[in-house]
Amino acid sequence: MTAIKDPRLSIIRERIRNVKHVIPVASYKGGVGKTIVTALIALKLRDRGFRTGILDLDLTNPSIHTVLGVDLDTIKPEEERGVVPPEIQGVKLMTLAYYTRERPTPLRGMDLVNAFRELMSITLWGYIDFLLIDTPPGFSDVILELSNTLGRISNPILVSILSKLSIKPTINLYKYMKEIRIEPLGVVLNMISEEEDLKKTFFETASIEDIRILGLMRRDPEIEKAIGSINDLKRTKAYEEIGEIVREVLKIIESRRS
Amino acid sequence: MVHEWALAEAVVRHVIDIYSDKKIREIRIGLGELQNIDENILLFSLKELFKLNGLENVSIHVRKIPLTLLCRSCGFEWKPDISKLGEEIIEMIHFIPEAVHSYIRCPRCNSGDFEIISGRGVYLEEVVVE
Ligand SMILES: [Zn+2]
Repeated sequence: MTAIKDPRLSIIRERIRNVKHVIPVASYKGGVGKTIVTALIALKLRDRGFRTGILDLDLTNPSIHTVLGVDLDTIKPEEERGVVPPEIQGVKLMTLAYYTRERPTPLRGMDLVNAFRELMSITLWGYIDFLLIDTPPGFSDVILELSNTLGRISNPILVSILSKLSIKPTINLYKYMKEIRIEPLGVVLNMISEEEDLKKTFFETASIEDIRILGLMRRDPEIEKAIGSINDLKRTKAYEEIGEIVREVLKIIESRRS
Repeated sequence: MVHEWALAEAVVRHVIDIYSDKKIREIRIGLGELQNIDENILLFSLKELFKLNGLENVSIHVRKIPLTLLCRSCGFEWKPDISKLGEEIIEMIHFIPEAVHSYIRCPRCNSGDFEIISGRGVYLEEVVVE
């Protein structure tokens, strides 16, 4: 007799079958601007003409919808043999916030796993080029589920600020990923304020050289004001900088294919 | 067709995946009260999907499972009446049962940190094969 597992595990990979590239955006430490980086990358990819989606897996604190200014009273997924994520200025967005409505939602252990599996098995992404995934900080339930259920996650992006408290765990996570044969696209260094040789500072702290820096993003006071308006976000300096990072990402993906 | 179809797809795909070499006679589904799944729609979806996979004669049994919650904070166990939550909230929970943590608190200590002991959603309980 074969053991019955959770049937949802049999459909999750099918649901992202037509997604060309899944890119989880991760950080070991919270407060490094991961959510905004995720949103900006997705918007930029969309601008470049790619079909793009965002999945918010920061389940107890989903906030991509806030960055994009989604009105939860009027925007929700359509039901159609599953649920179809609404398009926010051309970017498909799936988030638990459609269902928890920004109320405090204490979830742990099996609840997190169940919420993850349910979201993954009912969401119909269709044919898209990029699915950006905003993950919770750290290295626990959701990100482990993600890597186990999707099989090889080939393209994570790590986000770090220029503090030892962030750089060290980022380097460790990067190394760990390589050990389990996940090849990160690289590290985005965020919220940079100094004018010094930042990459050098990073590598001195890191004391290794085989880590790819995708790009730098300066601390940008305009970002905070632009939260909630896609048009304002696109006018920030950060949005220009993310353009360089996206160019780098596309280059790496292209080189991996050939 | 509503999202029950997606859940039925998971069940059918799973059954076919693990019993590819056997003749599937019967499946038993547990239907947790919390998710408020439309039993007829689920049954219809399961039958259609089995048919699409060339399995005409799988008999499907469904049993409802009452909801029981256990507070992790104070240990209180209770059976909330989901129907009292109102249509909109019932629908939220229908899509993602864990959303219940946003709308229900322990009646004794008001904590939202509780465990769904039974009656969450769609369970595949048994598959009978030849
Ligand atoms: Zn309690």
